[in-house]
Amino acid sequence: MSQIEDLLVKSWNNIKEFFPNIVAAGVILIIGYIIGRLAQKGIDLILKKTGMRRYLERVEEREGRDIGISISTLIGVITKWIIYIVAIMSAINVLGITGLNQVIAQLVTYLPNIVFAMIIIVLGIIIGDKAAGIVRYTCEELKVPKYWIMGNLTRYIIYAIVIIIALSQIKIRTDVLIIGITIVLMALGITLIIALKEIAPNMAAGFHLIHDTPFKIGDMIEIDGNEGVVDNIGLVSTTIKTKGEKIIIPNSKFLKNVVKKKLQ
Amino acid sequence: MNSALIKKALELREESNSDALIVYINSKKDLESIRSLKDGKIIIITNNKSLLKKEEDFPVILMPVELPRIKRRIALAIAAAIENKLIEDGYNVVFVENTDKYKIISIEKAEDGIDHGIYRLLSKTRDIDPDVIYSVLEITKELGKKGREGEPVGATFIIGDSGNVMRRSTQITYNPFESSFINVKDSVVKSMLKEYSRLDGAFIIGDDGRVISASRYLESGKNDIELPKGLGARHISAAYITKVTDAIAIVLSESDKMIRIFSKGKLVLEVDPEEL
Repeated sequence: MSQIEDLLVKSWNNIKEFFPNIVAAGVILIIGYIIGRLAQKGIDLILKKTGMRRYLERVEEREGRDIGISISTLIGVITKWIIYIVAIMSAINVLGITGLNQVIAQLVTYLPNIVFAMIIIVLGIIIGDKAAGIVRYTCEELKVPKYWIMGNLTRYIIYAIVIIIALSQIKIRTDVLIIGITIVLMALGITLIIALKEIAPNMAAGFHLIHDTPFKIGDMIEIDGNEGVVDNIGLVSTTIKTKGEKIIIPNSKFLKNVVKKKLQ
Repeated sequence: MNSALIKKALELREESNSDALIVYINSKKDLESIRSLKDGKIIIITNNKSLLKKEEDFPVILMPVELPRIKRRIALAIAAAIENKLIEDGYNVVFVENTDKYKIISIEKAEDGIDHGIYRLLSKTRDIDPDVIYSVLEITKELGKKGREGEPVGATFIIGDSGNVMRRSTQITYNPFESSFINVKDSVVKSMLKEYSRLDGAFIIGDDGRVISASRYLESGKNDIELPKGLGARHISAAYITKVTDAIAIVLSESDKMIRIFSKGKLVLEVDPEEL
């Protein structure tokens, strides 16, 4: 009996001497695996409970994007793999393979950047969508023609900014992208300023025409040699109708020029 | 367009011995898939003007208004085909539509009736937005069906050429729509206009649907206006206004609850709101 006992103790000691690192590495891997799975579940739960998951899904659905995997699942999967990599790294560390260790150490220092980039993208999508909604609604209220363009414009500008920030987080050079987007934004800005320069004075005059009513729809007026019946008074322009002709006059003209109103 | 859907519709046309297949589409992609079928007997109905640009082997007809209700959409699509002399009264027609929400195949019997008149009216408005006419027609329909608080009610809507109409009318009481930008195409406005219909006088509505005035007393006259016997001052003045301006008038009679539409001084359509 004691012989067998001796043998068992000896072999156990051998194993303990021979494989302690492997056992430790195995334990670390298993713990890493469990934590990874739990983290994925946890993130899914957080995204679900905070309503972010439904929000992201809605945005994806509306945008008609189909990449086979949703952003919310992607976040869970990436987090899981980050934990796996950390576990693998620690296991290798225990085994003492230094060459591999350095590569993975570099990778791990890189991981927070990936996490931040992910968070930025998620927040960016939500902020972009909300901002687009607000801009769209405001433009609709102000009766801006083709108001949905303004909403989409806001959305894509925010997306562009978010992509640049996210890319710079994972240390990819974004200089060219920034230059390109700046040029586009500048062009847009200039167009907007030119357009507003034309429209703003007309709108100001339009408010005057609508609220102070110097003339009403149905009045016979003469302006700049055009004589006719006022058919419609809009915010930007006013339509007068003569025999067989409709004349559209920018509202600012009514402030600058003399208007003759015919009395019946 | 779902290719299985159109295939099924073609089969159904053969099986049910129908005379025509009407397809309601709005995108270029759908038009291309129809084109690839090389079937000259399909009739396309669309809201999208850009689909009319190219000459096709099959007829493409524009539907001037976007109709929310499917029953009306089918009826007006058939009316459009009748107006273009592609089908006749009594034909069997297969109707197909594929929207985001639902897919429809329906076998219908073509009927040359009220909808034909409505389609003709909607497709021949020059300056007036067809959606505006349709919205006003909906309002008068509801007013005619239910009245206001159970009492039968009369109403007059003068649409388009608002400058000249305003010149030929005077205000009875204060205009509640002064300096406002209320549009009949907004669904909220429906109930509002119904309430204001208790005011005496006509509603004046612009080409674009803006409600310019309520409670307007219309100038009236008799010259060369022929109306069926029994129509009163409301109808005569509405007909007269359409004679002397480019406006059209939609009138709901208080006595016989009929909707009558006038254009150029003539009665162009007479509809019972219950049938609409």
